[in-house]
Amino acid sequence: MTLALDGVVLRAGAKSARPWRLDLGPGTHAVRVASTEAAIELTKIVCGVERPKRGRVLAFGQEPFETPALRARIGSQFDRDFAGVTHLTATALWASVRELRGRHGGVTAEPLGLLAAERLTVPVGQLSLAERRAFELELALGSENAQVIWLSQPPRPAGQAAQDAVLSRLRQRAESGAVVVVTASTAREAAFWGDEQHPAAEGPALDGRTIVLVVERPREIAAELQRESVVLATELDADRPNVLLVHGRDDLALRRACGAAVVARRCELFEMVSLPGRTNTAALSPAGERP
Amino acid sequence: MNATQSPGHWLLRAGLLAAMLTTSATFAFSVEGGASKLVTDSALSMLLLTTLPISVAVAVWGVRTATDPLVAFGANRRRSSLLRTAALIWGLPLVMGLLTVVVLIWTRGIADARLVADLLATLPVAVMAGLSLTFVFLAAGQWFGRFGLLALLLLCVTLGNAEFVAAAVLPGAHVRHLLGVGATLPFDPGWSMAALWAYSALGLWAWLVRIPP
Repeated sequence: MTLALDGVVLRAGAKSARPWRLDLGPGTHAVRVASTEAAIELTKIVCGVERPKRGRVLAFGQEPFETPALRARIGSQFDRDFAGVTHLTATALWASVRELRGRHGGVTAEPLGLLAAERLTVPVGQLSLAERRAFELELALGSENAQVIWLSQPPRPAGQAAQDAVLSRLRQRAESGAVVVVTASTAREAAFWGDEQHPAAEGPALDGRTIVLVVERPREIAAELQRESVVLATELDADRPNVLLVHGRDDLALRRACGAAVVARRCELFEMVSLPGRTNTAALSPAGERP
Repeated sequence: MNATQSPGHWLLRAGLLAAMLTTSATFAFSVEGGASKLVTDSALSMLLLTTLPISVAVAVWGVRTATDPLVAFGANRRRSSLLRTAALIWGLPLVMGLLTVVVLIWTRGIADARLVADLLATLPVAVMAGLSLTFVFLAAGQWFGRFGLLALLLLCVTLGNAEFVAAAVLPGAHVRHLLGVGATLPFDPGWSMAALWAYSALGLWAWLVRIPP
């Protein structure tokens, strides 16, 4: 277990939501979250900016909210408004972040160039929304030795070269042991981020493993969700014949799928596409029981 | 959703409130007349024992600073809070110092021979009273939220103004002791100044220790 959400209750949609329980190992995970609000709140909680209403988050055994050194190793993106530092230029802010990470033993990588060079000297508050999001993504991916990267509905970089650079860096981080999580609002987006992590060229069976979609939603929207899930499964199915759709409460199915890349249990209000390629078999049961 | 407002914004509001209350009170005491010292003492007591806690409570109540974006990259929340609240920490004691000067000049008159000596004796008390109450209110807000602020304000304007020894648990009694107003406490005024420093240090510690790193 490297990133665990233990009984986390969000403020967004708190009335209908049950606690989140997630155990994620190193690798790339695309998570579909029910609402943008929930996605942003979840990201703020994981990167240690906020505390969950209930429950706790542990990354590599520590709580991000309580541990500055851990926060320095978490790359996050959630459409920040950069309140309080909007007067700083992108270059100055990058330098501040580099200095902070360095103070905690973090190493900052060279920027990917998602923000145009001539805009680096403009105060962050004067950047357009798209530029700010691009710069935020740059900051999130900028930690050379990140332990966690959590991106909340990240923008698709403009241009194929930028897309390749971002996805390549995500892959590098995942391969060096980081937990990379991308929340997406649509199945297509989730598939985009994951597909590039594991291109079809690597084999239709994704290293011989199985993709498992875990679905667990309140009864009243279950039917709708089923449709969405089928769409997602179909999309993935085109390249990968061994997609398995599992309902989150079906423990037996989860256990059967354990040899695949399932890392979700009792996940509320979201679908999870856990993409294999890493060892993502942690915690299918609370006690860490393996079938 | 609550909009965040900077400490500077709330310092301005609290300062204006304090100025208005002080002007009204001093004007009322001046109109009432009586011995010059009595008017000065009453106006200073009103300023430092009632107006000050109200202003500090208003400022601390209103301040909701946005989370420093750098916290997500490893910045320490305590240091960040200290920097972001600096306007209040420096500003409120300065406002109290300024208002004390105004009150003394108003009630004594610019030609008064003892004005400078009174200013030199009173200014440190006003500044320390402002500093200690700012930290104590910040700590109360951090530990107990707005309920804590309200409870502390009530304590300050009731028990803090009471003339018995038990009131020495609050900064107000020490301020009175230092100003030489009302019943004196059974120790040297130097200890009261030390107590105000201690309140400041304790308040600062209690406030910061409650903020996660």
